[in-house]
Amino acid sequence: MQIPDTRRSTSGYYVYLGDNLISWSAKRQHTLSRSSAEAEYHGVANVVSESCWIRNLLLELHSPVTTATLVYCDNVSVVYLSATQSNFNAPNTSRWIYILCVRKSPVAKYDYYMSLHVTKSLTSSPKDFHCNSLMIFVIVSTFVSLPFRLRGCTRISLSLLEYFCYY
Amino acid sequence: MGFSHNIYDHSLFVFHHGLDTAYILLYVDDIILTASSDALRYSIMSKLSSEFAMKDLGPLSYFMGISVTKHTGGLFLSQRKYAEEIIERAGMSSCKPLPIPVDTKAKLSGSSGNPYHDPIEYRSLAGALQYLTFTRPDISYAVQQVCLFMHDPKTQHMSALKRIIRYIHGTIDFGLHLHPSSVSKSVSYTNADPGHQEIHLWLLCLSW
Repeated sequence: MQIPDTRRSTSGYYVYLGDNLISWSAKRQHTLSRSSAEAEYHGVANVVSESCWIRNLLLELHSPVTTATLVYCDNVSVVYLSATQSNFNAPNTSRWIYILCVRKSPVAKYDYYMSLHVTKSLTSSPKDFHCNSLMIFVIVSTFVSLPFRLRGCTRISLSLLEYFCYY
Repeated sequence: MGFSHNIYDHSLFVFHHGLDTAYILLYVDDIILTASSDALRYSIMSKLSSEFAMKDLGPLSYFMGISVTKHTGGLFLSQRKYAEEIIERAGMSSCKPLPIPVDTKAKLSGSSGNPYHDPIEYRSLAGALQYLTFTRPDISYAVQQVCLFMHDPKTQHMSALKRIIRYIHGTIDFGLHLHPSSVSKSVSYTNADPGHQEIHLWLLCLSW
């Protein structure tokens, strides 16, 4: 149910550097989305571009972020999509984490694109992700052990995430 | 002086030489200077004062309406005075505080309702609230919602705006804490909501 006047969606993000909240936004999207999943991906794209800007700024400040930025997206539709997979009811929910890889675009220097087609479960080897040029991981529908309850929340293996961070 | 202009933030100038680093943040005639060592800071200040007439106001305490308080855990950024002015301007100094800045059930609509009699006041207050989001991420969604109707405010939009002010009245001491921490890790959270139903709760959860 979009806002009837414009049919455009609203998305928001928060960016933390270490323990500090450094950037946030709540904004109506510029583009018209045809599904809630699309609206959520647009929201991810917005925060990814903000995260890239912050990473570049910190690089200029000579204190670069040395690890990949994790982007947590509360994306219920992906949970529903993953429900079609056989392991939906498995007790170890870490098996149906989906990761979208965001890579530095080879064409534009400061432009990034999301390669949605590489969405796959973590049961496959992390090496499959071609991490060489990876700067930012988008983790869909996985808010990890946060002190508050969120929609579409699921638990994932932190050690695995740490592995990704330093990969 | 060896400072380079930063392309990601045009009011920021960075000096980097060996282990020495210094940043200058410029806003019209106000400058924030921070350096990796006191000696470096003094030398930059003496060089600057030989070029321009300037006054050292000591440690950072107030910049662009944001007060900065140093405490043992780090810095606390607050716009308390500014928030008080907004409440005053809205004539709501004696209003009853509210725990949540938005109505969690109803959603604002642009087409229905009677036009608000003073759209200029509405725009002025909405703009003022937007500036307050610099240290108040908890109201960012609520303010974004009232700003959508700046062009044609209705009475219901004004009541939504007043609701935010009542919330601010009850949480006037809120601000932003910055703690010293390593910059090695950065994490982003995002949520999109085509229905506008739950995102404000989500944003509130993350900011508290």
